[in-house]
Amino acid sequence: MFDQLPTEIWWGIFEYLCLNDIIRLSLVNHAFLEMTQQLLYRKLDIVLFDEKAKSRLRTIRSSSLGHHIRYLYIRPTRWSVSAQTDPPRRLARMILSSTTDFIRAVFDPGYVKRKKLAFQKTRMNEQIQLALETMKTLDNVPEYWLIWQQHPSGPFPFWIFWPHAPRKDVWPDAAEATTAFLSLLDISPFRRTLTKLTLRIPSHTTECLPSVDLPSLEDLNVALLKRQEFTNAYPERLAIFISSLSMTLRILSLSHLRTFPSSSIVNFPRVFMFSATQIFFNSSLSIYILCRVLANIVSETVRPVSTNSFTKSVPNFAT
Amino acid sequence: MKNVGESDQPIPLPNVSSSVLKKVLEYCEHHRGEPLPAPDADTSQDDTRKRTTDISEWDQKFITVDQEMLFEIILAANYLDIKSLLDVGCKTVANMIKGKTPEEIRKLFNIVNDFTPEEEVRLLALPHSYHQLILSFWHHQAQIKKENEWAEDR
Repeated sequence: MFDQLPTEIWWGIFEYLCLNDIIRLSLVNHAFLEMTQQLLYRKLDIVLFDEKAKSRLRTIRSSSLGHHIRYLYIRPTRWSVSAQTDPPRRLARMILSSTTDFIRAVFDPGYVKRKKLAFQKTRMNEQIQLALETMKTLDNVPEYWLIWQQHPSGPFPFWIFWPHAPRKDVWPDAAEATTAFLSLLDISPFRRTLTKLTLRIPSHTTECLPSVDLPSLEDLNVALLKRQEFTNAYPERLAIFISSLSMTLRILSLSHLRTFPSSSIVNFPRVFMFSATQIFFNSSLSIYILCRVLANIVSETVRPVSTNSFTKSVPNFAT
Repeated sequence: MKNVGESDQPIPLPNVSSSVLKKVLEYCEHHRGEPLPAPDADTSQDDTRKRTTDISEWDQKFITVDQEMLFEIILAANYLDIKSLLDVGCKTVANMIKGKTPEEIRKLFNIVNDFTPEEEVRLLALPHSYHQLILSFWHHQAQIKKENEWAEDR
């Protein structure tokens, strides 16, 4: 009798239940297990890479729950390599595991620091590997966020008066992780189903972007973060990427770009929403895209435009 | 229906039986003139856990029907887009489920246990990590919301 109600209504009912009730429900039969898992695994976010995140990734991989995931949110800069969160004594024991280590540490003052860095790097690579292998099993993810975060540079009052000062990266090695997660767009099966992509990444991590093929992407939101060694190669890559999407793109949002090469002007037959912030233009691209947007809006006037897509960047987890 | 105006044309309702429609009309008649809930009043999903399952006395009496009727009322409310009635139905089913063991829920809805013994063992071993997983989801959710606000301010 319970299968009279569609899944959406059951989800509405679950909203009135507490966690324990939902977990007990998942043990009733296969249909309830499927429904509760669909709800619980809809969103995968990796913000802190701790033991919980690790066990979550392992559970998803071992129980093949990847097909439930619809939203993927990754912020590699906030990943704390486990070594950083380990208690200092345990960490010291791991780094200085043998007598030779101790002797070297006594005579070489930089030895402990180097060893610690090397140790963290190995940890990080293991973590990236685990996350990547899990994410390769996802086959239907319409929304993907890859967000890099920076600290304001300088002491507190300084960055208020000079907000555009070059920022300090939270974790220098995160570039490696960002590149790895960006390459997911190229290798994972979910790239075919991706409709919304949000990238907030430093420009030097965009190497693999031009070769990416996203056949159903409709909403692209890119913020390239400024770097001191900024050259024209970065916007060029982005331009190639965007022009390859021109046939499917409906919403385009660009920010923090210093330049955008005019050579990349392409047709955007479907774009009806365009936003640009903090772009230092040396080209007529924005005027061109705005004209296209106007033309598209005039030609399909009745289409409802949702402004929420920008303000609400992460959907709330539905449970 | 106000926008449509009066009409003699019958409105087909293929998914709603007459006895259920009678019940639905009874509900609508009783709640006539009450203000409609604001469309986004309680859709913010962060505090869904705090939603109360309290039902008013009249609604409680109204919804005391057999299970089949209850499900049909919910389906009809969903089909006719009567949000308050759908909420009452969902709350009632949630109240029925609350605090029950899987075995009791099976009995309640007449469900056959289709797990093999091996699957049951595996699932029973899961809850610990399962629990942690869900809690960490919520923990991250609050954190992400904060950081998104920060990012939007920039």
